[in-house]
Amino acid sequence: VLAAAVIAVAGMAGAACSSSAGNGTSSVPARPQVGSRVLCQEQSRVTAIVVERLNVPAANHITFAFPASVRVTGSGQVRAVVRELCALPANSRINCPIDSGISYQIRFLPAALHLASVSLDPTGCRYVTGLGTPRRYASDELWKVLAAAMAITKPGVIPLCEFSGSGPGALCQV
Amino acid sequence: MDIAMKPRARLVTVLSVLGITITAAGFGTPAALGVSPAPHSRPSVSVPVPADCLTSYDPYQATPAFLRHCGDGIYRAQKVAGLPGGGRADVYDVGGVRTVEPVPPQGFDPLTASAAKLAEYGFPPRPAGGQALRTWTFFMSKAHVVPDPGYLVTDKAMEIQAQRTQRPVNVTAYDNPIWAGNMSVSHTYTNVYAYWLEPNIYSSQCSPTAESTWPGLGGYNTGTLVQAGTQVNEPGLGAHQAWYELISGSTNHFIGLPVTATPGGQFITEVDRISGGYNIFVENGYTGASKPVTVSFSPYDGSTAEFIVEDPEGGWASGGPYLSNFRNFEVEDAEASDNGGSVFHGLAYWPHYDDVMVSPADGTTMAYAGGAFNSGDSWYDYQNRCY
Repeated sequence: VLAAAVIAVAGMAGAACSSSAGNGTSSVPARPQVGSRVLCQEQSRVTAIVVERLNVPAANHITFAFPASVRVTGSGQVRAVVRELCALPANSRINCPIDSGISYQIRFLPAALHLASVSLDPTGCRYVTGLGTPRRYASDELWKVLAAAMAITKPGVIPLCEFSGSGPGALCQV
Repeated sequence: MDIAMKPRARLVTVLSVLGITITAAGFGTPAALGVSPAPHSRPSVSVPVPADCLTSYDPYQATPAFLRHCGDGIYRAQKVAGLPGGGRADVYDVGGVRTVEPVPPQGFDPLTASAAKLAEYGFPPRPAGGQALRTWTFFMSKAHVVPDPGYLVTDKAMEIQAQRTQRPVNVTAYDNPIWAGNMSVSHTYTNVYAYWLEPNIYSSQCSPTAESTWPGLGGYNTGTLVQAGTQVNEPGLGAHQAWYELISGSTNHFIGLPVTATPGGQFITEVDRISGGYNIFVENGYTGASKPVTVSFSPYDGSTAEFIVEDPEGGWASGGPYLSNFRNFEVEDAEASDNGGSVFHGLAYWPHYDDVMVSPADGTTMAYAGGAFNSGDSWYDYQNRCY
């Protein structure tokens, strides 16, 4: 269950830390940290993005109509996604709708920029992390732009639902 | 109490971004506060919050200066209205959500009150019988409404869009990173309540940790969720303090209430769908301190009714806190109704899913609800690991 998540969280969090006894004895993975350079300070230099799907809970039997990793190189599409991300408002929630566990990570190229990757949640709190101040998306617009950039837009399908997947455990919390 | 209304800077910014104007008695608008509206519709936002505001504190015990320092949204009562049967209602406008705190007259006894009077004063409807009636009688026999402080405090407001819903899925367990509990499905629920023994919190290898405990309607098939409960170690609320939250496609309101649970003691909250809104009721069953609230809020998702332990703020893997070590606590009676609150059944009596909180790190169970008993209205919630 959630096998891919090990890699995902490690990727988000960097090195794990350990602490003393209490509730358990194993190493505690670190919470996600913002990278040293965030996207919105360097957005004009980004030439491509890689969108990767992470954390699909195997027990919930969710499937997707597009690959788990998609690379976008068109300059117009890349700029549109970056612009949308950097326009997101800051905010947070204390208690949230249920979260399917699925997230999407966007990596920004060229790698030499050393930009922190951004993580998007299509369900639950609707957080977007990796942009410095915690943010969340306020509408489906981000997913529309992302779907268009990835060329996975389907007529009649709400982009957010496309990213949420289909099957017995899929959620589309629009 | 003379408290100037000064919503938290980030609240003002977000409301401005979203075009929302707070109209509570002339207070609270960006202009009234001397805060400039956002210059365009979707700016990049970076709002610092003082470090001492990121700790747990009871907003109704904090000084006005501290609340102002934290930029908390403070909403004074717009008016005080008399109620037909006596008593009064303090009326607020919280970011466009009409919120009423009824105060019943002296001598009001919910045990003998009519259904109309219970509704008028925001009390839960009297169930027809069974365990639901016994629980109701237990809490109503102790209930005394705490004095209204005359203001409400919030630090959350936002707007998102809702477009469609999806049918419940045919699974009995749902692995996810933030919820653990029982969730009734396959009916349209109008009322949900839960009576639990407030968790004690023990030491943990993780830091920081937090947890919230709540019953609610919705939040599974859609992004609409109305919930009320208690929580521990969250910014802007005292330990075990009660709260309610309204989340929908267009709005989010998180409001702390001046009632606090006693660790290990009985606590009940109920969320009742009423015409155009909700009645929300919380009571510390150990002290009898209670608070009814009526909110005007049209979004409604009755496709699920649940009692949940949550790793708040999206969970640790989203940058939120780790799950507190509560070991286990008993859910004495958690039930839902699909007929307006007359007949209730246990959440695990109705067709239901077991929401299992699963670690995004390695798939290990973080928290879960044990097997239900007493016709599906009782069970223990267990914490297994903080991450």
